[in-house]
Amino acid sequence: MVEPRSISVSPDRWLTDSRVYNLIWLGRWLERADNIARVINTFARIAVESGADMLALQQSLGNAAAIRGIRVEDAGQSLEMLLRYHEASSIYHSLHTARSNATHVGTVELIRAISETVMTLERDGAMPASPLEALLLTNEVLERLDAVYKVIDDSWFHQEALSEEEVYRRFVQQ
Amino acid sequence: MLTDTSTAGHHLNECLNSDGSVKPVYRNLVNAIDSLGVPELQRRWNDANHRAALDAFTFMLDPREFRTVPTDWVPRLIPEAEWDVISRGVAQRLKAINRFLLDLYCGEQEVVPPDVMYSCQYFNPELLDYRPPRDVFVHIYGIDLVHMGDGRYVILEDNLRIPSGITYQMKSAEIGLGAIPELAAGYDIVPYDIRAAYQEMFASLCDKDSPVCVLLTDSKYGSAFFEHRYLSELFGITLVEGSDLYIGANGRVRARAMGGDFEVDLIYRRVEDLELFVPGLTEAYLDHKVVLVNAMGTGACDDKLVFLWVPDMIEHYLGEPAILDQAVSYDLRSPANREYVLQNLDSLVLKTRQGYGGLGVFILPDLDKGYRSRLAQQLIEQPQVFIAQETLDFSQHLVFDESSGVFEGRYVDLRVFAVQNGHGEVTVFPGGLTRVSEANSRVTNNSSGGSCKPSWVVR
Repeated sequence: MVEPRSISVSPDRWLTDSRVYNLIWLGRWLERADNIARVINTFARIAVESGADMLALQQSLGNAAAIRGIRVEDAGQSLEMLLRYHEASSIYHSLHTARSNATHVGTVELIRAISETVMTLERDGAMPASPLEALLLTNEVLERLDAVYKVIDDSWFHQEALSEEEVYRRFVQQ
Repeated sequence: MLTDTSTAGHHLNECLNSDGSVKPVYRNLVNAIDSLGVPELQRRWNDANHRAALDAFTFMLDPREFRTVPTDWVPRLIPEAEWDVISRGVAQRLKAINRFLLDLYCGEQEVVPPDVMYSCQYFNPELLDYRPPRDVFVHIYGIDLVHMGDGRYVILEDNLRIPSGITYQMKSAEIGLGAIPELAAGYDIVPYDIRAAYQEMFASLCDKDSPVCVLLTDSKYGSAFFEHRYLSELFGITLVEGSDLYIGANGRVRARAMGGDFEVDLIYRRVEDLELFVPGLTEAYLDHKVVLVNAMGTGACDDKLVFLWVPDMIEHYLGEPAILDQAVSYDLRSPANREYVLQNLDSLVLKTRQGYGGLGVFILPDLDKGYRSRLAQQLIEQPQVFIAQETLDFSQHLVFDESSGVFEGRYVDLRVFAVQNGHGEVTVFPGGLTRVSEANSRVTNNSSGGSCKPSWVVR
């Protein structure tokens, strides 16, 4: 009878070069998404409080878009570009790329948390038609980003995040 | 609900008899679907799709596009008696192929003509006289089968280099059962433990206790990256890219890491061109400084022409007939076979010897005459590049169209996975991955646009 042996299982796993690379970029893309969401949130709040219309909000965001390097032909597009459609600097693109980095370094719970945030912007009718809707949408994005940060804290500092191993164990127990 | 809808009139549907009545093994499942009703099934379907997106359960055809694995969540059921035959047949084939590879590289094989072996793209002459740890070349084996009815399964091809898809078998079952648990009512599903089998296999191949194992991925932009991430997390082993690994001064493989580099004992490799990813890895492997899973050189038996001799390998090495039949295939180096194939182009399948992922597979009855003529010309000019197989009229299964609420018939195959550990013990994981063709097609590969379906072995 051959004695069973085990492999060296490391739940933390090693912090390899590629993992560090993806961790750095995960942080950068999340920070970018957070940054843009807060800019829009602030402009939208001012617009709501001053009673400004949607066009005024979009025009005021044109400067923010330009700072982020987004070329907007029509000032009216700036909100949509910052939220969803610009391929380098929109919240949506930033989160999409952050999720890609998270698949390399994160637990399934972190991937889920980022996916929830991405889906906030994918919903039918997600693009706001008024400053109030823009305010509510970015409030929701920021809340979901807070949930992402909590998972990161739990993953790296408390090791409480749900892993695929735990998901599988629960599934097998069923 | 199932019986209300057209099933494309196919004579062989795994759920339904030819008169449209439900087959006994599917009755509980159909009752559960009928009880749920279309609107509720659609709602649960959306839940399952949502969960797949949340978990980034992806198979990406384009690295820029986030594409979840298209999945039909209603399972395929395989009675345990049928599975028993499949399982024994797969284990038999794996053992025979492993013995053949040992003779091919470390001895003298007498089964396959030498010119076939030496013209095989994946034959690796660097490995001559190399014995892999514990004499195991094939650690992980994937085999593609189709169901011909009455529990008879026929082999289409072997996958021995880096068989992909076991995660899709597991994750589709996990998500499907989570979203629609009612489907399991009345069934005793045969369980399996992939994690334990793989970890035990890794450990049994290494000389030291607690070996350090890593999973080598091509990158997060690769089509099967979900599987790489999932398995590394499931097994508790580190996910590495080629740039993480290098060969140290002592010839051993090392990984770059914060806090200090570390030595690697075993690489579960999910890439093909190892030298491109880790220069010097071949030499380290041949010096027994690292274990590779699967071993180098296994691709020789991935070759579609070598496939023709696997029943002979079974007879030669195990002294018994093959348990599972394989598709009737033609070696086109023979003038008589070539002549037959050219006269029957409209009823055969043409495959390139080294094709994979649905590439290089030409189902001639489904192609127009002009395309067939061009392939015939290629066949005449380069017969050694192709093999031909009889076109099989294999089974269909029902897939649910969530938008219309209708079930439709689609062709399905079955990829079964097995592992062999260092003690020569083979574990075949019950169920496998059912791959589903697109409408009006018989090609089921995910990389060619097919979808997948959970598969349960039921007692």
